[in-house]
Amino acid sequence: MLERRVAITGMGSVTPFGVGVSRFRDNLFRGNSAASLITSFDTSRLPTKFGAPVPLAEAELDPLVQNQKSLKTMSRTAKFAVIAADEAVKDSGLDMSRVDPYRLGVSIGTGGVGFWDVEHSNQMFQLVAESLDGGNGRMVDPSKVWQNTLEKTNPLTPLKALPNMVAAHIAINHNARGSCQTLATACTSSAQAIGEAYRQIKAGISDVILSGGADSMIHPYGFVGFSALGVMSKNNSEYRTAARPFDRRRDGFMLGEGASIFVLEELERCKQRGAEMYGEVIGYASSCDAFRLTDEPPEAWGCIEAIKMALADARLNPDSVDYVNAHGTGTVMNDKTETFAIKSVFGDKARSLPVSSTKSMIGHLVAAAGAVEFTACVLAMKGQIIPPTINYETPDEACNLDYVPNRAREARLNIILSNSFGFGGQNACLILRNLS
Amino acid sequence: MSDLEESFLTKLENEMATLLSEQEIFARLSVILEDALRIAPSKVTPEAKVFNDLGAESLDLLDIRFRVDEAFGFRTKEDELIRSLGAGLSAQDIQEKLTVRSLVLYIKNCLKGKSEVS
Repeated sequence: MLERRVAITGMGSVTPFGVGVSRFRDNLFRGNSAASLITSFDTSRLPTKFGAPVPLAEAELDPLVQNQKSLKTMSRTAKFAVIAADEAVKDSGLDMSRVDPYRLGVSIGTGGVGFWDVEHSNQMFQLVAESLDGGNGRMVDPSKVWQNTLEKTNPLTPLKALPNMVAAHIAINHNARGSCQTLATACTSSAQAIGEAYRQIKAGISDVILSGGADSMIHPYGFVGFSALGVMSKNNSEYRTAARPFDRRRDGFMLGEGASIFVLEELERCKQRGAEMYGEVIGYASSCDAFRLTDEPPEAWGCIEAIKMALADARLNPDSVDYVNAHGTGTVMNDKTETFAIKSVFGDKARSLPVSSTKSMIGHLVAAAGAVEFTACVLAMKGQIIPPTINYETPDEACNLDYVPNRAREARLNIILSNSFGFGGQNACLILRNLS
Repeated sequence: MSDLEESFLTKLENEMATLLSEQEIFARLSVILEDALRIAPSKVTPEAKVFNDLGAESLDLLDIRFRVDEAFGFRTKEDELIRSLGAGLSAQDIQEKLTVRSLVLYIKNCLKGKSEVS
C-alpha cells in the first residue's frame, strides 16, 4: 500500500494585521510591524503598555462569525478560530457534502481561553466591589463574591472558558464528526496540533483535518501574568521597534493574538479531486526538556532533539533545509538557546542558513504562534521569499546567524523548518515541503 | 441623584413591573428572545415554540431564564420554569409545550408572586 502523505489545501488567518491570509501576507513580506499601544484596558500601572492586538473590537468581529447564536458562548479566541476555519475551508474548495464526516477531524492548539477576557475581568471587579464588607472598602467577603458571581453571571459564561470549545465550534460549523482534539502545551500548542493531525492522517485515522490554533491573551490577566514572569518587553518608549528577536538590545517579547487554521488533507485524495496544494507536511516531532518549567537547558537538548527527530521523520538530512522560521521570541534566553540548537544540528551550514522570526512583526501569539508562523512558512514557500526579522540593529555575539534582517529576501525554498518552544520545556518542530 | 432617591426609583420600578400587561411582557420578552437566539423580530409570535420554531437548545433556556430574571427583577428557582409547564414532562414534551405564550404566563405569575410577597 502507498504511504499516506499529507497536503495543505486551505488556509485561514486572523492576525494582528487583520482578518484574512492576504492581509497577513502583504504585511509580512513588507516587513511591517503590528505593534500598537494597548487601548482595550488600562495599562497605566503595568510595566508593558503595548502589544500586537488584532485590530478589531468585538463589535467588528461578531458579524464575521457565521453562526450568530453561538456568539454568546464564544471567547475572542474562539471567534478568531471559527473565522479562520471558515476562510480555510472556503479556500480549500472542499465540498463538505462529499467528505465522510467521521473521517473529518479537528485538531486545535489553544490556551486558557475566555474566562479572563476584558469583559469578564471588568465584571469580576464590579462583583468584588459590590461584595465589600460594610462599605469600608477594606474587607472582601469571599463567600459573597462567589454568591454574586453565580447570581449575576450569565450561565453560559463558563463555556467560554473551556479550551475544547474552540474545536467544538469548528466541528459543529463544518460537521466534523471524526477525531476532535485540543492541545494546550503553551507556546507549542498549535504546532503540536498540526503535527498530531499530520500523524493521524498518515496513520489512516482521518482523511481531512481542520487544524491550527488560536489564542488571545491581550487582556489584564495575560499582561499581569507575563509581566510577573518577566518575559515581555518593557521598552514602551520604543514600542514600535521593541520586538527585536536576536538583537543585542532585545528585552522580551511583544504579546500578540490571533489564529490560523489549515485544511490538512490526504494527498491522493487531493489529487483525485484536483485540489490546489500549498505544500506538504513531511515531518514533525515533539519533545520535552524535562528540566525546569521556564528555563531552557543551556545545552538545548530538547530543541536539538525535536529538530533532529523532525528531520528524521521527513527522512531528510540537515543540508536540505532552505529556511528556518524560528521560535525567536526576543527573550534573552530563547534566542540564545535556539541559536545554539540550530548551530548544533546544522553545523557549518548554520552560518549560511536563513533563520528569521516573524514575531518581530506580529508579536508572540502564544498558543496560536506555531500555526500562524506555519502559515508564514507556507506563504514564504508559495512566494519563494523569506519574511524578515525586523527591528534588527545591533548584533549579539551569542546570536550570530543570518536572521534575514529587516528586509524580505527572495530565495529558492524547497524545505522549510518551523520551530516552536514553550513553557514547560515543550518543543515542537514541523517541516514543510514544496510540491510544485 | 442621591442613594435614597435611587433606591426609591428602583422600588417604584419594581412595583410598576408587577402591573405589566401580557402585551407589555410579550414586548419585553421578544427583545430578549431576539437577542438570545439571534432571530428576526417577525419570528417571535405567541404561538412560536421556543425550541422547535425559534431554534433554542437547552443551553439557551439557561440564558433566557437569566435574562428574564434580570429584566423583570425576580429570581427563578432552578426548574420552576419547566415545572410551570406541567408535572412529569419528558424532554420531548417540554420542547413541544414551551411556547412564547407559556413564557409570558410564567413571567406574569412570577411578577404576581413578587407583588404578593412585597
